[in-house]
This record gives sequence, structure tokens and C-alpha cells, in this order.
Amino acid sequence: MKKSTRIGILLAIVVVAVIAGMAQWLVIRNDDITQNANGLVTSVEIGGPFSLTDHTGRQVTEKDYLGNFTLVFFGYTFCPDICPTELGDIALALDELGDLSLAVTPVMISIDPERDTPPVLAEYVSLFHERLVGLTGTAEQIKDVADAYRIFFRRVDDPDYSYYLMDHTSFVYLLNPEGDVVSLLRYGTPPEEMASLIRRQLRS
Amino acid sequence: MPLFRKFTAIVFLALLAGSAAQADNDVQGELTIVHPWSRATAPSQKAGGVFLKIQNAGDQPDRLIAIESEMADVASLHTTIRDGDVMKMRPVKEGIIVPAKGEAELAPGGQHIMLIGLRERLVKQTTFPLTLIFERAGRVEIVASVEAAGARAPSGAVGDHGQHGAAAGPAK
Ligand SMILES: [Cu+2]
Repeated sequence: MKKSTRIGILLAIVVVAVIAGMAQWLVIRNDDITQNANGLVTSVEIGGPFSLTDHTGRQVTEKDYLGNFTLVFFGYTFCPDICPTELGDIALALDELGDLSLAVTPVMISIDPERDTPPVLAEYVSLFHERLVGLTGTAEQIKDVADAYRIFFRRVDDPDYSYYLMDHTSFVYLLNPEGDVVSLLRYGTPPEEMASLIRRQLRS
Repeated sequence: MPLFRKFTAIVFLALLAGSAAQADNDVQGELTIVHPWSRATAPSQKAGGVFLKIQNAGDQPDRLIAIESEMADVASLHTTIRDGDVMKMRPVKEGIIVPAKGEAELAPGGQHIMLIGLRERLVKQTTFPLTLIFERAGRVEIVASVEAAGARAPSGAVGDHGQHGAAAGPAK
């Protein structure tokens, strides 16, 4: 191998590592997460104010959801696998809670605002739960809320066709009525487990 | 462009496999497609997933290499990759192997058929046809049932291949 090629490869590795490191900085790493009685918690500060548009076209902020528990999931409607599964599980968990579920507002924040306009979200959220709220916004608003919640997302284009997919963090956050993140749920958490975790939070 | 040539080769192989399969019903007869199902979509939702289980009673492995469907602009094989807590969906370029005397499962959170650019809405409790193309068995026509948008597994034997097997295993 020529020396210049070797240097080139080394440089490429360094650049990739730096970019990967920057992406990692934004997300919650595995060793940031611990388990306590309330489920998974993290020492990383998550959440905060946001300004978005809901699926009815109304301008909203985090203040509109205070006073109730909130389950927040970041996803997109073009996703046929993970997002419907997660939203289906959230709906099942709420069903399991019965009347108690009225103390919880389920929310999906789109990380694909280009396709997920309020009318698109309105059609989508109604498929899963009658109280599911869909939130979208400008690219900048979405970037801000995703950063605040340490959600990594990236558009992935496929050269074979004109549609794109999104890579995204699949955490579900549980916020208390004061708006603090009190627990995070990983993708694949069974609905019964979600429900019992919420029940415990409602009691405490 | 080499990618295009490769694609053409795959299509050609698929056609070849298809015509061979018509002459060889035994091979096709060794595959059973259990409970193909999909999820209801909203009118503006232009993507859908199809899940199913493929059982291979034969002594030879087979490989699901392509999908054809009138329902969408593109039908391709995808897999969901979990990278830490980040979920990624990627095309499965090499196809899905169905081992001899074994099975392959396409289920939520893993491998699936991705319908991209849906031409019509998938309505709960309806069915739609699609064609699976295998390397050896050739073309296998199936009918997928549409379940609730958030379903994790098929509700019962709705598709016309459901009778070949017991309920598909629950999505892990
Ligand atoms: Cu996919």
C-alpha cells in the first residue's frame, strides 16, 4: 500500500470517529442509564421547553401538557415497523390501565416534519388511540426538541428509490404532571410492564 | 452502472427461477407461507410492512429474493437493526434464507417486506395479494390480511394460506 493511501485511510478513520463521537454526544449512552423502582432512569438531563404544532394545527408548548402524566415517543408515520409496534404497545398499556389511563396523555413527536404535517399526523394518530397527540414543527423546532430529549435522528436516502427512511432513537419517556422525565422505557418493553410502571408513578 | 447490472441480473435470475418453478411443483410445494399479514395505514401513509413465516419442508435451503406487489411502487426486503437504542431500517440485499427443514420469520422488529409508495390505503380486515419470489421455488402467490395499525401479530387465519399452519408465533 502506498504511503499516501495509508495516510488517507487513517484520516478517513479519524474523521468518521470524530463524527460518530459528535453524534454520541447527543444521545443517552448505555452507562448513563440505571434502574430504580421507577424503571430506567438516567443522570443525563432530559426534556425542557418546546414549541410545536399539534395534529389539529394548534401551536403548543410543554406547558399545554402539564397537569397530566405524558408518554412521549419520537417517531414518524412512514415507518412501518418500529413506530406502529411502539404506538400499539402504548395503546395496550393505556387500555390495561383502564380509567387510570386518563391521567396519562400519549404523545408522538415526529422526527420527520417534512412528511408529517398536521393533517398527516391527524389521520395517523387516530389509528392507534383516540387520545394520542401528534406533534410536528419546523425542522428547527424538531431539532430543538429532539436535542432536549437526546433523541438521535437521521435521514437515510436509498439510491434505488426516491423515498427516504429515518434512523431514530426509540425511547419512550414518561413525564410527571410537572413535566419532568421520571422514567424511560426501551423499545420492546411489554405493555403490561409499561402499565405497571405508570401505575407505580401515579401512586407515588 | 454496476448496481443496475446487478439488479438486472437478480431480476433475470428471478424470472428464470419463476419459469423453472412452474415446471417443478414439488419444490414450491415444500414451502408453506404462514399467516401473511400487514397493518392498517392512514390515507397519507405511503409505507406498509408485511410479516409472515416461511416453512421449508424440503431438503434444500431456499432464499426469498424479491417481492412483487401491485399495492406499491416498490416492494423490498428490509430488516430493522437495533444499534444501541437507535432503530434503523435497511434493505436486505442478499435475500432471506429459509433453511432446509427449517423456517424463516418476518416479524415486527426484524425482517419484513416493505411496501414503499403505497398506491392504496391498507384497510383493516381486508386482504391484498402479493408475490414472493424464491431462488428455487420461484413465484409464490400469497394473500396478506390487514390487521389493526398497532397489531403485533396476526389475529387469526384470515389469509388463504393460514390453514397451512397453526397461528404464527408471537412476535418476540
Ligand atoms: Cu422497512
